[in-house]
Order: sequence, then structure tokens, then C-alpha cells
Amino acid sequence: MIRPLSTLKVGEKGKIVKLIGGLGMVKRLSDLGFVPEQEVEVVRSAPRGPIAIRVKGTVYALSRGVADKIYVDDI
Amino acid sequence: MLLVEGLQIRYMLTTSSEKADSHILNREITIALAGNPNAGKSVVFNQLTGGNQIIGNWPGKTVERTEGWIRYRGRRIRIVDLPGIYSLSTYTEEELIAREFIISGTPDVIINVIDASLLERSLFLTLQLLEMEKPLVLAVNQLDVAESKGLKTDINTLSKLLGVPAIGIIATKGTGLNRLLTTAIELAEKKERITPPTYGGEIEQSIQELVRTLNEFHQEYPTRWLAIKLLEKDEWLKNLNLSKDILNQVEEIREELERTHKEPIEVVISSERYALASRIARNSQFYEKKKKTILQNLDTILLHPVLGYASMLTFLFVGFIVLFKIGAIGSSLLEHLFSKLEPLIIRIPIPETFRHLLWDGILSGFISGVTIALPYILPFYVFLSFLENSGYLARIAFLTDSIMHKLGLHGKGAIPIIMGYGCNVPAVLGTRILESRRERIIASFLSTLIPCSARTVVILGLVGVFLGVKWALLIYLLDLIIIYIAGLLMNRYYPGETPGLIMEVPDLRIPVLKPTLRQAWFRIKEFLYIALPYMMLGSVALELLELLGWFSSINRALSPVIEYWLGLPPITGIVLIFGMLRKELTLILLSTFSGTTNFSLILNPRQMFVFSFFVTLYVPCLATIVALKKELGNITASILVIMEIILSLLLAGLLNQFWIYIAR
Repeated sequence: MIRPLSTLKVGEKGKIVKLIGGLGMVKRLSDLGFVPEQEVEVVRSAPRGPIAIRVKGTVYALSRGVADKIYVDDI
Repeated sequence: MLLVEGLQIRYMLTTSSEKADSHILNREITIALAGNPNAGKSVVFNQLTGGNQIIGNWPGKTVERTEGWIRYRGRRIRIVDLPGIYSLSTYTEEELIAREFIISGTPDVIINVIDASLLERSLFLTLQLLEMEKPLVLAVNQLDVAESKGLKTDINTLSKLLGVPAIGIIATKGTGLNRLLTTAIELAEKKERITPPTYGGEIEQSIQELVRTLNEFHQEYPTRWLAIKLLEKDEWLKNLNLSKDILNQVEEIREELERTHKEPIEVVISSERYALASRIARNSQFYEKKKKTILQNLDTILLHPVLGYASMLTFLFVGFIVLFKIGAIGSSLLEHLFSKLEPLIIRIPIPETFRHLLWDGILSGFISGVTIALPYILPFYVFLSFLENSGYLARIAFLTDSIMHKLGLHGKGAIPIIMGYGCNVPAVLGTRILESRRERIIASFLSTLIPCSARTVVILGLVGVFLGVKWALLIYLLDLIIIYIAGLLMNRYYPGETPGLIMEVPDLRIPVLKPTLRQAWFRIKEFLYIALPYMMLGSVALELLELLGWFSSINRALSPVIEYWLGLPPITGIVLIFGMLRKELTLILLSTFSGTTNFSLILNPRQMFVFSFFVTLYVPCLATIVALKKELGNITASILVIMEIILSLLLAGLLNQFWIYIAR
């Protein structure tokens, strides 16, 4: 099921299918490894707060608004 | 050692004549250090350069520029530490600076420091550096950390796959740095072009197609790099004035690629680079499962929705209390030390007036600067460097992201605000970490409202001592509420968007002492250069005014505001004017002018509270104003200062009137 990354629970994994949003943000995210087909894992998620995602061994903190714009699918 | 000897032999061969020898002796080699944030670049830089460094800003930019020099076998080696970056696009100022420095042709060789425990991501930048076709040596750092995570790195294979030398290092221990340096120098002197990486499929075809066209027009930049940047729609290329034909061809290829991949071209190219980085990483690093260390497990608590906040508040609160205690002890020790100096100055046979200016003006300005800067701010900086290098600061940014969003900032905005409790100057300078000017302005304004250690002296020394600690805490609480509301209002009425937080949360680690202390020291030097001259000037001005006998007329002129609106005794007028130099000067002057340290004789409880409250808010001190000017420009700095004066007069006046009304 394709859904925003922000809806995943802690410990859940997904595969990125699409990044939406401004070009600057999309470019920046893809530079950090948020690229299509990439597997990601939710490490922490504060209710309504930011969420921490593991990508290629690195943990990134993303504001919820940013995580809303990354769409993932089940692996 | 073998390598060093090998080098020596080679030089004996190439420098057989004296002429060639002197050529080498006069030669300057520029090495650029590039790498991701947290890769250990600064540690490598410090280890290589030792004490010879200059910290400044990149011309016209607010990004820190660090340079150092060493001598190596007769050569002068200049080492430039580029800002820590993840990519070489032009998304951030740091990336732009790094790129311009590399492509402008200045460095003879690049040392790319990478974190072995994050190989794939690090190689993403490495590939982009290789695209620029400069000589490059890979410094594979933190091999020990990688091992502890179960990652075994095959450096030879890595070197072969990338086509450049790779040296394994542990920068914190100094391991491998000699070899790194000699390899870099060797590469720089060989001046060989390197082979840029080849990508796969249609991307590679498109690049080559463009290269063919570009070769005809032969530019001053590597054509392959130019081709990739053209495909990426790089903003910077607008400066090149390329012909319409080329741009049309680029547009066609781009559309074609976007059609087949169904993604924006930037994402397609990033994916391609990551695919290659991933392939190289898989072939040169092997993973065996290891048990998690205590530090890795600590995040379960530190980032927990409830425990995370509890531990953060406790940690910061205890931290600040300890810092304040250290500061108070250090400050009184230094004051004692300097008071021994006074008799020596008084014995100097010069006219009374000049001695006054010299001692009470210049020297006491210097002494107050030093007694506040060293004992309060130095430990604070050490604490801050510790927070930063341990990775905890990133966790604070994570925890505070939601609340900061309401104020028009994101999580990183909490960092300068926390710094403000030590001193507003580094706080304002620290707003550089934020992406947009809007955020920097909001964060600067909010952090100048934070009671720094100087204001803490006033709040605790007056309200804390005479009214009780609860009242002192009330001022802190009121201040936080004011900051919150000011942030809400600025976010609402200052046009612009708050960018979302996208920030690496590095692994927790125990910071290495030396680089942490060195970082603290460089920051305090920056503070001293900005703040100290103004403190000395201000203190001379105060002496001059006193000599001229202008105090009472100034007090009279200010009395409508001071006496009627704020309800304070007239004497506080001149005190508040000079409090702009340093906030705790208000308390010192108050006792000088009234001839007592028992403030309850000259101020009633209402006046004490209003006075401390007003001192907390009324205007940033001179050093902070200078910092604001430096970071935001004259106009913005002036607007912020005026806003603060209005805000403080309004609130302190209302507080005073309200108190009188209640007491009636």
C-alpha cells in the first residue's frame, strides 16, 4: 500500500516510491539518499512531532511536514 | 614509513639539479579538505595543521572559513577546510562555497574525508568530487567505529574501484595521517588528471552525447562535469552564457530522461550516483552482526516522547546551574587577581585625569570583559562543544522541532537560543546554521531576549537576593513566555515559510577532548575580538561623561520615562544607558552611585522586579548589537534593536503600572 512515510510506525520499514514537494527539498532529500527504491525504516516518531528515519545506515530527523511528502510502499 | 622513503627517492630523482630544488622549496601546495558533516574533517584538519590556523568567513558569506599552514620538506602547504556538506549541488551556501572553491582551480589536491561506518552515503559526495576531475585522495576515517559496528572495510578494493588512492585513518588518534599527507602531496605534484566515474545506462549515454557537443566549445571547466550539471539544471550555470543550441539540446535530453524514469531529473541523477556508490560500498565493505553498544541503546531514552523531554530538561537545567557556579567562582577569583593590579597603576606618575581614564576607563573595561568572558563563557563553550561533538545537540533539535515550528523556526533553531543563555553574541553568530534569512532574523531576535549570564547576575543579585529565588525564577518564566509570544507573532506577520527540518542525527559518541577544547577556544577568541574592544571603548566614554559632569543632565532628560512610566528612581537613568555596554554593569553602577550594596535602601520590591525585568529585555548589549550588524546588516540590526526597546518599555511600563494598581 502506498502511503506517506509519516504514517509509518516506529520499527516499520518501507520502500520509497515518490518524493513530492518543492524542487529544492526533493533535491536535498535525494542527495541524502531518499531516492526511489530505497528502503527506509522509522526509528523514532514523536506524536505530531518530527520523525527519525534510517536510510543507508544514517538516521535523519525530518519534520512531519517533510515526511508527509515522501511516499513509500510495503517492501 | 616505506611510503615516505619511496617519496624521498622520487624527489631525489626529480630534484637532481639545484634549480629544481629551489623550485620545490618555494612551492606552495593547496590542499582542500572536503567531506560530510561529522565525518571527522575538523579533527583531521586540527591534527594536520596543529596551531597554525586562521578562522574567518568566506568572502561575502557568513559561513566559517578555516585555513592552516604547515611546512613539509621545504614546501609550504596550505590546508583549507571546506564546509561540511552532503552534496555539491547549490542547495546550501556551504555547498556553493565548497564547489566554487574546488572548481575555480585553487586546490592542487582534495583530501576527501569519509566516515567508514557510513560508506555508501559518503561515497555519494566522493563521486561528485571525482566528477570535477581534480586529484583526490580518499581518507577513510573512523575505521575503529566502523569495526565496532561490525563493518570491515577493504581499503585496497575501495581505492581500485574509485581509481584514486585511499588511506585508512583514525583521525582522533592520529593514525595514518602522515601517509595521508605524503600521498596528497605526491598527487598534487604529479598533476595527473583523474578518471571521473562512469554511470549506467541512458544517463551515461546522455552525458556522453552532451560531452561531444560541449567539447566543440571547449570551456574552462571539465566538460563531463559541465554536462552533468547541465542535466541537473544547475542554477550556477546561468553565469556561463551557453548558446541557445546547447541549452535546447540539454532540454531535449532532459525531457527524454524524465519521461523514461518518471522522476525529476535531479532525482534520476541522484539515484544513479547512489546506485554506483552502493555498488562500490557493497564490494569493499563487509558486515558481521555485532551487539549494539550502550551508546547506541541510549537513544531509546534520549529520543523517547516522554523520557526524552524529561532527560533533556534535567540535563540542560543541571548543566546551566553547574556552569553558573563555575562562572561565579572563576569570576571572583579573577576579580581578586585584578584588584591586586590597581595599586600598581595608581603608582604610575601621570596626571590624575589620565590615570582615571586609563584605570577606570580602558583597564576596567578590559577587566570586566575578561572576568565575564573567561569564567562564564569559556565553560559554556566547552559545554556546548561537548553537546555538539557528542551528537546530543542534534537530539535537542529533534525534540524541540514541533515547538520551534510555531515560532517560525525548526528544531535547529533551538541551538542558538540555548547558546543565548551563555552569551547572546555566540547565539547570534550561531544562527548561521539556519537555512533561510527569515529564520536567522527570527532566531537572532529571540536569542537576544534570552537572559545571558550577565543578565543572570542582575536577576539573581537583585531579585534573587532581596525578593527570593522564586521571584527570580518568575522573571525567567515571564521571559520565556515573552519569547514564545514574540516568536508566534513574528512567524505570523513576517512573510515567508518555515522550511522543514531535514537533519542528520549522528551516532552518539564520547567527544575527543582536544578538538572539543580547541573548538571552544576558537569560539571564545571570536567573542573576545568582537566584544572586548567595545567594552573598553564604552567604559572610556562613561569616564569621560563623568569628568564632564553630564550625569545629572542625562538623568533629568530621561526622568519622564524612568520615573513616571517605569517607576524607577532617577539615578537608574544613567545606569541603564551604560548597562548597554554590559548588562551586569547596571548592578555595579547602581551600587557605585548610591554608595551601598544593600539595594533595599534605594529600591522597593516593585522597583527591583521592574528594574531586573527591564534590564533583561531593554536592549541587546553593545557586543550583541555588533554581532547582529555583522550577521544581518545594519538595517535589520537597527530594526531589531528598536523593536526590542519598544517591547521592553511597553512591557516593563505595563508591569509597573499593573503592580501599582494591584498594590493600591
